Amino acid sequence: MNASIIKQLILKDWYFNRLPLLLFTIIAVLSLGLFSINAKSTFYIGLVLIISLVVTVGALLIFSSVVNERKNQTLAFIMSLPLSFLDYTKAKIISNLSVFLVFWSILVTGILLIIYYSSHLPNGLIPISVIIMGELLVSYVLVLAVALIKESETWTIVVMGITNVGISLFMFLVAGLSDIGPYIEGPIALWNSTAISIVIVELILAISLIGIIFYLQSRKKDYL
Amino acid sequence: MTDYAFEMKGIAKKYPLFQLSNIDLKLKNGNIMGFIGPNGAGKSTTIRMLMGLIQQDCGEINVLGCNMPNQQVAAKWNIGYASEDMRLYANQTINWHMQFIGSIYSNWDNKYAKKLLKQFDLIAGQKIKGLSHGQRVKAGLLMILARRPQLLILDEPTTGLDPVARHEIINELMDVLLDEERSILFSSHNTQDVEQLSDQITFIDKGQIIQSQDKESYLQSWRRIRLEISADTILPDLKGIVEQRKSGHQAIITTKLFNNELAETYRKCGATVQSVETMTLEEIFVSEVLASRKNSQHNNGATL
Repeated sequence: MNASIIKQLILKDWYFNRLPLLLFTIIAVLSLGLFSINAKSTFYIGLVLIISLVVTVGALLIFSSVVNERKNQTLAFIMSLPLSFLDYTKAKIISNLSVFLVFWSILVTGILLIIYYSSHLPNGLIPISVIIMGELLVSYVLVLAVALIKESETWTIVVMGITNVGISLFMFLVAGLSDIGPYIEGPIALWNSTAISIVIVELILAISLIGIIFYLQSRKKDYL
Repeated sequence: MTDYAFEMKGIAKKYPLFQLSNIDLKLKNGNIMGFIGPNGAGKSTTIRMLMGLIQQDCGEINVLGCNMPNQQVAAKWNIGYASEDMRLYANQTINWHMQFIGSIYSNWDNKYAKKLLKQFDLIAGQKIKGLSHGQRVKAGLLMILARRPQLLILDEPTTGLDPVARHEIINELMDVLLDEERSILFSSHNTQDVEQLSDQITFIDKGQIIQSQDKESYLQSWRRIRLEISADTILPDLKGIVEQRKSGHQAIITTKLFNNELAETYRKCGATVQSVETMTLEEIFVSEVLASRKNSQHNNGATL
């Protein structure tokens, strides 16, 4: 593995996104603050804000480091460096996922802690919150996969649009499940087999998508 | 170590509407090859295959002793590549790019980079988006020259430049050539640049190499001969004649196999040799391409 160059590419992507990410992290912390206010309406406003933030940060990362690299013709500059296309793919996956996962983990941890410690939010919200955040993670990895594999701005935007619409549908579907819906308002976090299975499937999907990216990228013959 | 900076043998690459075929090309260490061809001839595809960015359908490519594209990482440590469609990061400064490249290449020569900055009249703190096209090309060249690569691959480096910027870049490339170990492949539409810099000329048209030769002997072998002829003069169909144009009592012969006996042969046929003119590379290029197209049309017609 071409570790030193992959590291430089990752550092470059982090450096390019440092300011917007700082801004989004501040907004995310403020959104978490809304959760702790003792009113049901602020919880839902906070939830919508957090979902929007996760989607926005995902889009920012994918567009600035993958889509724009090709669109702005800086990919030729990067590929002139001593690295293979698989090295490039590794760098993009690590730089994207690492930042996204840190941001996502802060929000998941924040949401869970607030629900757990606040008296006005039922602990029954914990499983569905984890499931929804898991779906956001899978959506992000899917869009990243399309951006890397298809190398097309149009395809990336289309899949991003579909996944965004999918979030609302997914929330509606999950909340409608007989093993999930009735327990959302409950006092305890009920981790039944349905809830656990959904989380496991989400994890498997995210990991499989990363495997698919590497498999398809390794079969490509033309990189520019 | 191989004597050649790169070698391409029997290369082919097929696309739905275009194909490169029978590409055999090699460049000796320390030599400069001018790679000339019309738009869409296959210059950039050939160059990208040399860089390992496009995989050939068949044939072998060896660059600096590395098999391409499999060993592209090892080869690219010693290749400086710039192409017309390559861009630096618009929102970053020249200095940021210098540091970025410097962090990757241990042989990055910061002193030389600063010298080039001055020579190219660039400001380190300036963002790429604020540079003119000429300045961007110079900044790109700085990034590759300051790491002193063994092989420079430049895909249309002077396209779109004003005469002054072009002159500066050609001059810098000439300085680089003082290092006899460094080899350069440089493609261009501008035959003047190629004529000035190269010691080997390669023409490509419609995905095929139509000529690859040492520049001096190549230029010497081409001549335009002006003849005065009478109505009944029959000009012989000699080997190497690329074009024969008659207008009244005038005939203009273009040959790619000129020798001193040729004029004598025409005299013997009853023609008067008015002049034997040398040709510019551009004139030769146009003649070579047109002759090649005529030949392939003729061959296609014969096979139909």
